[in-house]
Amino acid sequence: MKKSFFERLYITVLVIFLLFFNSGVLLTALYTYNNAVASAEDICLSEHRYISQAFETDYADKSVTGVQLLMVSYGTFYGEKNIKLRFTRTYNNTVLYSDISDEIPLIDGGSIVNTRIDGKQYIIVSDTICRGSYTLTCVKDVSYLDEELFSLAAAFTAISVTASALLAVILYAVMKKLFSPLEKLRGTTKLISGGDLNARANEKGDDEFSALAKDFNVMAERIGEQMDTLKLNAEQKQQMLDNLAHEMRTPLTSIHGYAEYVYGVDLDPADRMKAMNNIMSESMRLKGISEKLLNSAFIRENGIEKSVFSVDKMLERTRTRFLLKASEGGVRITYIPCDITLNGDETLIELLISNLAENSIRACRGKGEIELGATKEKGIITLYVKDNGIGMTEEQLSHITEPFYRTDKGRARKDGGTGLGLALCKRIADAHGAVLEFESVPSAGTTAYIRFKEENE
Amino acid sequence: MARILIVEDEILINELLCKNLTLVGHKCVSAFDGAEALECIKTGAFDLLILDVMLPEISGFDIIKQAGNVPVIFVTAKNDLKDRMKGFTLGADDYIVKPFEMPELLARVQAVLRRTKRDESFMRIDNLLIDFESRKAFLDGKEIELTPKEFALLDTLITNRNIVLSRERLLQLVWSYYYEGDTTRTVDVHIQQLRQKLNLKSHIKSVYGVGYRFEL
Repeated sequence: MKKSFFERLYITVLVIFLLFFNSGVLLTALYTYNNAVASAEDICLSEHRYISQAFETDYADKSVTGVQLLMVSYGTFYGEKNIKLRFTRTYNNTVLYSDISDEIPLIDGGSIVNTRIDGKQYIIVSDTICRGSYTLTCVKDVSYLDEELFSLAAAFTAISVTASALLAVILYAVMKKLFSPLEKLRGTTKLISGGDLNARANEKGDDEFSALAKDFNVMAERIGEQMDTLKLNAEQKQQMLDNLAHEMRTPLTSIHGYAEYVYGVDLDPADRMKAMNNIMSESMRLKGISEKLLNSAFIRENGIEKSVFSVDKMLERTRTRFLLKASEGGVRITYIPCDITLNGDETLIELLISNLAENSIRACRGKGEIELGATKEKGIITLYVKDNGIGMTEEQLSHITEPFYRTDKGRARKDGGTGLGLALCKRIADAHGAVLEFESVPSAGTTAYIRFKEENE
Repeated sequence: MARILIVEDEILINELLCKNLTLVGHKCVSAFDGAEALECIKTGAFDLLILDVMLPEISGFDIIKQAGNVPVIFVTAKNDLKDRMKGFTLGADDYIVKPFEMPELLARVQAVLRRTKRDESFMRIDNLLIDFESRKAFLDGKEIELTPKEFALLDTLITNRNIVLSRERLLQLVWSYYYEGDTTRTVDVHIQQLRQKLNLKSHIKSVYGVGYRFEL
């Protein structure tokens, strides 16, 4: 089963801690026990030494009976101290006195032994005394040490279990608290992955977690922005498609409708001509839309072909082309010679200027002046188309390069406007790295500028 | 005959709708933007509104809210389900997407007018009486037996009166599907039946090489 990081860390810390803690307890218990054994041995040794010294001092009657009498008095005295004695003659191992049971073996002199016999523990100290004449054996029953060990073990076990349990609980609580920022962060990520892009992590504190939360929030912010951009793009595309559908379907409806009308209804010649004229003008409108869309698509697909050309000649051509259309209604169109050459796609830039000029003619409402020209300042070439037509408001200016936007819907259509002209202009300018700008004052006129980048020579 | 307000900012389409609806016997008023439309709704009693959705200033969806109980048909270039749903939710009686064909529009106009009882369910032509509700025809007060297809053909011709309908179009409108091959004879046979049974020789005109037109 997979364990979470929290569980793994918790268990690792707990195990390590318990290992050290319980080892400490165990070592303390062992140390205490060993100390008790050592002190029991010390007592035994010192009693043995004491008896041997006393014996050597008291030893007057060297007869067997005398020695035995002396040993009986020692034995009685030490019996009360839980120490039993045996006294033998060294050279033939004759036992002169003993209150030790026979199960305890006789051992060589000069040794100390800790042994167990029949579940009882004894410390046996045996050494010769009176310059080797006799051997004195002291036996101390230390079975009480086992009991002490058991009770000690019980106490330590109790302490260990209690402490371990407490530790487990406290450690859990502490770690939960330490991990809580991570949990909260996880909650936030879940919210975000669930679609709530506005969820943010708590940035309080100045540890690694809060740093992570800050970074995380920056990331979430970025993603949110990206999503917004994508959404906006999608909306704009949808809007563009809706508009395109509308712009295509409207002339199609008229064309089809009037064709049906001419085909199906018994019309007089004048009505028939009018209907036919409608069909023609609407098909021209469709043609205009498709041409501009194609131009846009062409620039997008193929890019531009730059060459150095004379701006004067291009403006002259444009002026000539619009001369007739402009003068029909009394619009004067002029161009200011400038002797500038430009590196760019001549056909497209001419198309750009033509579109702007066409807009200017419409803006003049049949009467006014249009000026085409170019300037060069600090290496920056600017083309401009200036008119003294009806102008535009700020609001209108902000929308004019959007496809199918019209400042005056009804009128522009009548004039043959597709609503795509300035969108195309912007695309051409963008393809050249140039900036398309407008200055306009309502009812005073509009000037369009195309500013090329400096390197354009 | 019904009074119809046409709200459409495209002048040509507005005119076209007006011409065709007038041809089949309706009275039309044209409005070119929302404000004008609202003004007309206030002053004139209309039997039907034909509304474009995308209008300058005030959209068709806003106008319908003030149309009261006048039936409304939306005519629009927007063809997504969302818009259609919205149109119907707002109480539109029908929804036609551009580009449309005129007989379809006329049929839908007639259907809405009949459904909402805005148009007379009877029609008198000379000594012929046609009851569109019970789908029966009476000549000099005597009922003339017509098959359902014959009545449907008569209905279609009258709905599109003064407009030529080709045999193919009639098949499509009356028989509801396209016939393969030279089955347009079916139409000719039914036309002959109608002319004979109802004495409509002077009204159902053959247009050479095109089709038939009901003249009134």
